[in-house]
Amino acid sequence: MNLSASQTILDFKNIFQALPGLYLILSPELTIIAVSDSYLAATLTAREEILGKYVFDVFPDNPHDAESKSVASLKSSLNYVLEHRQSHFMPTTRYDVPSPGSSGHTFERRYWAPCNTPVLAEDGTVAYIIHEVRNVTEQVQVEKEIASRQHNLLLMAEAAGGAVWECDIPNNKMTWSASYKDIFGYDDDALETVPGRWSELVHPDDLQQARKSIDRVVAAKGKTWTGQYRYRKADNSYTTVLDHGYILYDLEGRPVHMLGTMVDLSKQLEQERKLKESNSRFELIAKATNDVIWDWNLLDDSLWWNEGMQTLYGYKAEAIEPTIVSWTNYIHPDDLLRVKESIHHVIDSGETNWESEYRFRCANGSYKIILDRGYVIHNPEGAPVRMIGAMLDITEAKRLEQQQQESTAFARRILESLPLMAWTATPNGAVDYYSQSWFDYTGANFDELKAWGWSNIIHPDDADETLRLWKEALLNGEPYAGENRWKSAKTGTYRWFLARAVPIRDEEGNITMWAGSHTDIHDQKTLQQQLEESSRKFLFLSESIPQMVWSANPDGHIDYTNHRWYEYTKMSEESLGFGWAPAIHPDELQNLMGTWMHCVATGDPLEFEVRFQDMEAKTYRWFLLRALPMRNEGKEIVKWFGTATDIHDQKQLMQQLEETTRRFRFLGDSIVQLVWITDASGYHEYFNQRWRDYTGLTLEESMGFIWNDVLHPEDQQRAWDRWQHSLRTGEFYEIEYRFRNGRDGTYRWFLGQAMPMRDNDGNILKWFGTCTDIEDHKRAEEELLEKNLELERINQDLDSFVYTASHDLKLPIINMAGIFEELTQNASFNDPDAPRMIDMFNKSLQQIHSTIHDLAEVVKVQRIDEREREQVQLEQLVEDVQVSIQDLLRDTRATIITDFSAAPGIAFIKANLKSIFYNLITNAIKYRAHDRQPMVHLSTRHKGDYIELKVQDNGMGIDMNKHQSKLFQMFKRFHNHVHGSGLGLYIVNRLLTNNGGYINIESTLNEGTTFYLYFKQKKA
Amino acid sequence: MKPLKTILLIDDDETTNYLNHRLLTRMEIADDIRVVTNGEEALDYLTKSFQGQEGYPTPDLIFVDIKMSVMDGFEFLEEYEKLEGAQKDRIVMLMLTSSASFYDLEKLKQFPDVRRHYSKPLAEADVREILQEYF
Repeated sequence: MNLSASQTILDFKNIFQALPGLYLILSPELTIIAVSDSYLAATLTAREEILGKYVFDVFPDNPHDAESKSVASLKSSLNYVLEHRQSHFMPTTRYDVPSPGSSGHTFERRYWAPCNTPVLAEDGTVAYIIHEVRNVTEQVQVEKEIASRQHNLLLMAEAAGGAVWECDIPNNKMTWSASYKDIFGYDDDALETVPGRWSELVHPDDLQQARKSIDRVVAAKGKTWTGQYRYRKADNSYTTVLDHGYILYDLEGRPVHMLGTMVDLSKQLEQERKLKESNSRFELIAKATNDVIWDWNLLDDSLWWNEGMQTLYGYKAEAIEPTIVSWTNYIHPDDLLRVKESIHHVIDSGETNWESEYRFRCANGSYKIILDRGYVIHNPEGAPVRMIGAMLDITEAKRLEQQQQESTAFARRILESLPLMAWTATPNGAVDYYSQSWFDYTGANFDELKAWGWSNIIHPDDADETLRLWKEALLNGEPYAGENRWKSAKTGTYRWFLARAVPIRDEEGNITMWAGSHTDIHDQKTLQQQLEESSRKFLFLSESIPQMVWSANPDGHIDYTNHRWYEYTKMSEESLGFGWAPAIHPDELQNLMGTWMHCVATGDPLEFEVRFQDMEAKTYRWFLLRALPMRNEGKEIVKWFGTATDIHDQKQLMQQLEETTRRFRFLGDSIVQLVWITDASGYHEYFNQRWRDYTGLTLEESMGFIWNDVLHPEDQQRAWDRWQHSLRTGEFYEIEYRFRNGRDGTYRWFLGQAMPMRDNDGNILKWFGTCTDIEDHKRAEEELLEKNLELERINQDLDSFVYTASHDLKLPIINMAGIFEELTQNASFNDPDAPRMIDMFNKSLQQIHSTIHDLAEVVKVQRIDEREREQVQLEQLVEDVQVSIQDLLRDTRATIITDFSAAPGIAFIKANLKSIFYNLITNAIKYRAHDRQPMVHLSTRHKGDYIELKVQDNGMGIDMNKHQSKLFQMFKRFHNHVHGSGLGLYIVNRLLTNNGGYINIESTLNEGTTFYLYFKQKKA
Repeated sequence: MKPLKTILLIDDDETTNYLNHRLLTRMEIADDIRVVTNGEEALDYLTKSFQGQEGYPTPDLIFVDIKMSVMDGFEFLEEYEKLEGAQKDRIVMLMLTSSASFYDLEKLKQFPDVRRHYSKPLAEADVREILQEYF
């Protein structure tokens, strides 16, 4: 073989086109490149029409089939192939093709099983798609036909009262429809079985023949088979069945599936026979009856009427159409829909009995009211096939009933509209009617109440008596009346009713019924009971209470007084009416009589204070008389009720209180202070006369919060704050402020004071205040203050005067001394007394010098500055003093011995302490005893809060008895032979006492003096 | 040879100056005793002295009173503090008053230049003490 390339290609093309399958070759762009002849034939197209065209342009969707999704399905399949480069089998698709020669207007139904396969190029991309389609239209149609037939078969079998079976041969399975159980008596388990079971149940004598018959059909590839044989039921009896089978084969022609129905022939035969019998019987009856009988064949809607349609409704036989229309046409249009619905409901729901009332038109056009009863007949399979009914003319009955209803309703309406609970009873007493108000009241329904049911609602205490009276009335035929209690459903309590019943008799005088009524008298009844109760109580109370109680007729006549009145006044019943007058104090009698008559006339309540007399003891006590009128419903006074309360003690107390108050006012007005009282909040309630006199305000003007009208503007805020403080805290109020004198507008100083008055719980009830005029004190105080200031000024002046004077005096004295000394040293005097005079001059100089020096010291003492206080070391201080008086010490050969070991220092102003030491030491030496060497002992020790400084000398001593009181006075000197200013001890004492210390002196003449100085030491 | 060269007395009281001059002269403790009658004059003297002017020898010892007219003792001391001169260290400044009040003595503590306070009259014993203590 040596074939050229072109030959090869050509061959392939022809071969492809001649292939028996249906092929399209598509480019990746889905353009048709090649097509097989078979495809063209199947699709009814020509090659030149489709080559080179886009596939979906050539095969559009079937426009007459909205369901068709063939294009979309093909498109997605092709896309799948392009994308995955794999074959894709499409589901069997319906794609209709245009009928040839119809220019695309009509389509032929086609079913296709398409498959798309990619042809890959060397680089792996899709070069072509082979679209292969198998035309499976015929196959699908066959399948559909089988399914349809099978369905019909099933329906038919069920309708015929048979059982449907299905046999799956390859799987050896056989199934029965549910009716198999009913027909043959098997249970659910028998529905799923194997075909062999069938062989067991077929009567052994019939099996061979049935088998052969089936085999014959199969061998001839027949589709249907029919057989009649005996089949065993669950109860082991055999019945004759008719079996229809339908056989399906596979491609190889083997039977794979069998479907069939099996009908129990014996049952069907029996039923047909019975039906026939009943039909004939029924028709006989129907002819005989007067009612209108109808027989409706539900399967063909034919309708049979009996003679009644003619005799009763007037229709002519020839005018009666033998269909259902002859019924529906004459039903009143207003009833038609309702009747149709009800009858169809009965038929459709499988029920058997139907009943309805409606209006039916007669031939003359009038309507009769019909009660129609129908009965649905079902075939053996339970399907409704027939309906038989009878129409009863109830027009007259209805009319009577209506009349009856209307008449009763009218009577009831009247009874119902009455405000009482009405009822009727049969002649023997069984209640047969209750009005609505009974049900409303008792909450029970008629069934519960009817006949003797009422005995459950009545109060148990009343039941027996009511029953007795009612039976008595029934027996005698006399009207019944009684009061009894009935339970209210709403409140659960019993209410009183007046029950009445009268017998109603016919013309012959026989009782036909009882008519009764119950009237609610509960309120009246309770009122009456209350009235009885209260009048009983009143009597009881009025006799037992400790007050006098009385009542009077509307005209004022006393008709009752309790025993208290008699006990007190000792009067008898003569006091009733107006006989009580003698027991009234003469001062009040006329007034009381007038007031009482006024009350009786107007109905005003009486309230009167009056003295009643103890007629025997002839003493009076005060009583408060009170009375109120009692009125009936017409507002007329029917009675007066009164009391008389002994208020004698209160009255006396009140009088005492008034007296006390009066006295207090008098006291308040008589004292010189302004007196006022406020409530707890500070609101002024009382001012005495003096307040009014001083401020010029009236009592009304003074009430409330008035201070600012009276107070000096500068004192207002301060006084207000202070007063609020006291109100808040309850603290004693005290303040000095100025009040304006109402007469001349001047202000005077007052001391305001106020104290709270508290109750037992400590709560403030009132404030009692006084304002005392302290203007004079205040002025005196101010004057004193001024005086003080002035004195201080004078003192200062004096101080500076003394200081200046001492200084200014000092210098000339010093100079005079200096000049005189110079003079006496270097000048000579002729007078023989010159030395003596010089000595006298010197003494005088020294004296004046000393005085001036001490004066300056006194001034210094006046000015102490606490800040200068320091811890002074005594040893050092004494040394300093010794230095300053070294001349004196040398001249007198005095010895100073110190021992400060116990307290080496004293807190003091150093200069002042030095002055003290200086004065004491110089004094000790100055007043020395001339027959011995002066010795001064200085020592300290702690003594309590003090440091004791002991200064002991052996000098001449002081006569303490003589001089003690004057020892520390200024300018006092006790020894003339020694010069001194007399200020030394004064200064020492002042310095010490100014600092809280004191001084003690012990002295014996010619033995010496000891000073004890006590320095107060501040505690740490 | 006298223990001191120059003593300056600052006091406005003529008698005091006379008596002190006489006492110091009699005790022969200084070659030269100068007297000025108020603080201003004293400052003038000392300023010139510190400047080295002729006729104003620097004093070894100064007595100054408090109560003086024109410029009192405290005013003088305030000004003296401001003066500059190496010689100040060698000068012994003493206060000499007739009656120094408590306040005066307190105030004196503010002036460390003043070595001590003496009450008038100046006695021989005082002078001896001064010589002994400061010279």
